[in-house]
Amino acid sequence: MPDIALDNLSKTFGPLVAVDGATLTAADGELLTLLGPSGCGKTTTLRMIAGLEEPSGGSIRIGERKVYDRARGIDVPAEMRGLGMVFQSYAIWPHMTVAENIAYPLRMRHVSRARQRELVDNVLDLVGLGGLGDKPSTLLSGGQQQRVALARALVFEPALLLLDEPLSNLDAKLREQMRFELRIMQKRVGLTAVYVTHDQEEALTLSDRLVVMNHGEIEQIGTPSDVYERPATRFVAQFIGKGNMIDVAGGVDWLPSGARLMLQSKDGTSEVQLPAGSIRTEPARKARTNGKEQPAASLFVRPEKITIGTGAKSAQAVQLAGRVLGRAYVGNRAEYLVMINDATSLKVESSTDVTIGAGSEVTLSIEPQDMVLYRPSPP
Amino acid sequence: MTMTAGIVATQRGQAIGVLRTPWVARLGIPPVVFYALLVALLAVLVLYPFAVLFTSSFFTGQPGRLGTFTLANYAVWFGSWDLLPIMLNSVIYSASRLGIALVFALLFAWAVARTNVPFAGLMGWMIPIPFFVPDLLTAFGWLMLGNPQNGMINQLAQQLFGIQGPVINLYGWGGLIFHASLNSISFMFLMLVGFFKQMDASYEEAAITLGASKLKVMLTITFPMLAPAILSISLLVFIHGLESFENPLLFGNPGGVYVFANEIYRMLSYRHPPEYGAATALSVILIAVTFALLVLQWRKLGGRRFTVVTGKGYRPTRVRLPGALRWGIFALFVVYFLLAVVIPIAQIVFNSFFEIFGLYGWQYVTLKNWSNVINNGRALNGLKNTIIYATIAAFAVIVIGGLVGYIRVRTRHWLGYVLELMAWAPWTLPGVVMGLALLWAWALPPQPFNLYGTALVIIIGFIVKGLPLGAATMQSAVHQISPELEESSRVHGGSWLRTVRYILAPLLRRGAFAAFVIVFAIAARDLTIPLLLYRDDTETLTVTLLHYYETADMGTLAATSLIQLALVMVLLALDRLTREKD
Repeated sequence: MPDIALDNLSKTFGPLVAVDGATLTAADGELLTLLGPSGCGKTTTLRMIAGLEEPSGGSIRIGERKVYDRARGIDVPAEMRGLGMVFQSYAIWPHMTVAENIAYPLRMRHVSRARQRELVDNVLDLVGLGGLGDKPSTLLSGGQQQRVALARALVFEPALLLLDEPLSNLDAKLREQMRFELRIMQKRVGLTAVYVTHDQEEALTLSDRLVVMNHGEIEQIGTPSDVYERPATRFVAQFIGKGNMIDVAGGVDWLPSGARLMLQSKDGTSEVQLPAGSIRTEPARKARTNGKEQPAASLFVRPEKITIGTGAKSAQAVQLAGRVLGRAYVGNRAEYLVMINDATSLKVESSTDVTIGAGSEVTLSIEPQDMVLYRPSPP
Repeated sequence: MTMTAGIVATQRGQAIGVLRTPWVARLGIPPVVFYALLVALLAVLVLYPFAVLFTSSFFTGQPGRLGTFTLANYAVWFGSWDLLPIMLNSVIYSASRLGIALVFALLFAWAVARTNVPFAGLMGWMIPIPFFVPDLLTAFGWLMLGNPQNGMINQLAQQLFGIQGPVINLYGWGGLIFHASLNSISFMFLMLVGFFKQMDASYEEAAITLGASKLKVMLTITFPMLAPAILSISLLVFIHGLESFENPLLFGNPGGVYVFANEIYRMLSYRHPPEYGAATALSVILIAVTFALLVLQWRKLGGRRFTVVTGKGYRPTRVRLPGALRWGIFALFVVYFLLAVVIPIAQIVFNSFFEIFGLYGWQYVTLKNWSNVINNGRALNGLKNTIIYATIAAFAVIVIGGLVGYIRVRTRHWLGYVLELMAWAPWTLPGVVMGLALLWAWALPPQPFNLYGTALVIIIGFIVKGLPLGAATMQSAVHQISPELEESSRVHGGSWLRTVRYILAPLLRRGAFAAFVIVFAIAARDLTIPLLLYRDDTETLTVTLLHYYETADMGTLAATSLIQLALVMVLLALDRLTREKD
C-alpha cells in the first residue's frame, strides 16, 4: 500500500482561507486522523485528497503518483485516483441492493461478473454482513449502512481509504463498538487510511498519529500520547482533554534554564520554577492574532494533575490556597471548581474517597513537570 | 490539465480492475462551456421572443416583415381614451374575482385546517379539484346552461313555469366574474390551506393562556400572522386575472366586455386586416403592468415562491364551532362543488348525447356526436397533436429543467442564478402575449430557422409555458438528492457521465415524472399559444374545441370536451397514484 504526502496544500473560498498550507504525510499502513473543531479545514483537506474539491495551491502525492500539483498543472479527477471513501451520511444508493452498492466500484473497473460476486461475498464476510447481499439497501439499520459503506470502499483494494466522520451518525454504544472494529479491520487489510473526526476520544483511540487542525492551519502532528501529554500549542492543550489555562499577566523571568513566575493565590503569591523543557514557543498564527490581544504567557495544567490537599509528592511542588466553589460527582471521580484568586478558578479532578464541600478552604499542589508554559513567538 | 489513462499500479497489492479515462474528460471541455450553451438555449427560447415583441411594437409591419419604425402603435393607446376602459375593465374583473375568491378560500381553508367542520378531510381533498379541471370545459358547460337564448336553465324556466325571456344571462360581466371566481376559489384554497396547517399552534395557545378568547385569537394572532402570505397570494391571483384569456373570450366577448387579453386577441383575429402593431403595443403594456405587480408580489413574499407544507403528523388544536355553523360551511362547500364541477360537467355529458343543442327529449337521444368525433377525425387529430406536442415539450422541460436545477443546486457558479432566473421569467406571462411574441419571433428569421406555422413553434410555446413550474420541480428533485450520493460514485471510479447514468438519473426518476405530469397538463389545457400559432394540420384539441363552440356544434363540442377532460384526469390520477406510493 502506498503512503500519502500533502505539500503546502491550500484551499480558499473567496476571502475565506479554509486550509492554509497543510503539509503532512501518512506512512504506508498508517491510520492518520485529522482532528479539529468544525470549520477547521479537516473535511476540506480530505475532500481535496479525494479529488472532490480543487485545491488553490500545493500538491498531493499518493504512493509514487502525483494526483495534484498546482505548479505542474496536474489534477487527476476523483474517479481516476483509485481511492475508497466512507462518507458521513454513508451515501448508500437507495435504488440498489447491498451487493449492487458494494459491486459498484468493481463495475466501474470492468471486473467480470463472476469475480465481482466473489469479491463482494468476501468483503461482506469481512464486515460481518455475510448473506445480506440481496437485501434492498433502504432496509438497513444505521450500523449496517455503515458496514456497507466500508465494504464498498474496501472491495476493490484501493490505494488509500478515506473516512469522513464515519461514526458520527451512530448512537453512542454502537459508535464505541465500531471504533474498535474499524481499527481491527484497517490493520487486517493493511490499508493506509486518512480519518476525519471532531471527536477527540475517537481520534485518541483509533489513530496511529493525529493531526490537530484549527482555522485551516495544522497545530500539531503526533501520536495520541504526544498530543495529549505534550500539546504543542495553547489550542491543542485546550481542545484535547480538559485543562486549566492560566493567563500570566506579567512578570515572567525568562531564564536560560527555564522560566520563573509568580502565581497569585488566596493567601499570597507562590513562585513557580519551570525547566526549559516545559516551555513551548508558539508559531505565529495569521488567523488568530489579528484583532485579539494575546497574553504574554499562559500556564497550562490538566485537572487530574492537581492534587487537593497538602500531600505534595516533591519539594518543588507549587502550593496554592483556594476556596471550593462547587463540586460535581461524575461516577468514578469528582470534579471541583476551586477559586485561587479573583480572576482565576481551576478545574480539579480527584477520587471520590474524600468529599469536600463547597465553601471549604483548601490547598492545591501541582508538580512543576505537570505544567506547561506557552509563550507567543517573538514578533 | 493532464489526465493519466489507466490506474498506476500500487506498490504492494495491485488494485483490482482497470479504470479508463472517459472520452468526455479527454476532450477537456470546461463545464462553464456547457453552462454557457444552456444560457444561450434559454435565451433563444425565452428572451428572444420578447425582445422581438418589444422591438416590433415600434414597427409598422406584421409577423414575417418588420416594416418601418413608428410610434403609432403606442399612439393608438396613449393618444386616445381607448386604453382607459380596457384598464378599468381589467381591474374590475381581476379585483372582483379576487375579492370573491378571497372570502370563500379563507373561509374554506380556515374551516378545513382549523375547525371541527364535518368531513374536513374530504373537503380538503375536493376543493382543489376545480383548479385541475380545465377552465375551458366548465365554461362550455355553463354557457350551455346559461346562455340567454337557448340555455338549459332558460328553457326549463320557460317549459316549467312559462316564463318568457331569459331568467339567467351569463354573457357579460355576471357570467365572467361568476365563472372566473369558481376557479380562483379553488386555486387560492390550494395556496392558503398549507399556511393554515403549517402555522404553529403554540402562538395561538400562548395567546389563549394569556386570556384571549377564540375570536380574539383569530383576529389578533392567526390572521395577522398569515397576512403577508394572504397578501402575496392575492397579488398572484390578481395577476392571473389580468392574464386570463378563456373567460374574457367566452363570457366577455358576447357581452361586450373587453379586458387586456381578449382585446389583444380581437385586434388580431376579428379585424381585417389584423392590427398587429396596436395588439403588440398593448401586449407590451400588459407585460409592464404584470411585471410591476410581480415585483411587488416577490417583495411581499420575501423571495419565497412556494408554500411548503411541513406539518408532519402534527395536529393544531381545532376551534369547536356551533353545529349550525359547522353544517352551514359544509353546505356551502357542497354548493360550491356542484357549481364548480358537477353541474357544468353533467351538462356537458348530457349534451354529448343530444344532436341538436336546445332540443331535449327522448326521441333526440343519440350517439351520433361520439361517432362524429371518431369518424370525422378532426378531434382525434387534435388529440393526437396535443399528446405529441405536450409529450415532447414535457421531455424537453425535464432535460432543460434538470440541467438548470443541477447547475443551480450543485455548483457555486453564478450562471446557475442566471439560468434559474431565465427559467422563471415566463412565470405569469399572459398566454396571448406569449403566443404573439412567438408568432413575431419565429416568423422573422430566414429559412431554415423560420418556424412560422410549424408544429415546432407550438412545442416551443409549450416548453416556455411549462418551464417555470417544470424547472422548479426538477430543481427540488435535485435538491432532495444528497451530494454525497454522487460524490461516492465519483470517488469509487464513476466518471461524470456514468454517475449521471447509474446514480443521478435513477434517483431523479420520480421527480422527473412529477415534472412531466405538470408540464403535460399545462400544455394539454392551453388554448392561447396554439390559437395564435396553429395551422390546419397543427391544430390542438383546445383549438378544435373552440372551433366547435364558435360554429355552435354543441353535440360534438360536448363529446370532444369529455375527451379533453379524460386526458387531464388520467394524468392527474397517475400523478396521485405515484405520490401515494411513497
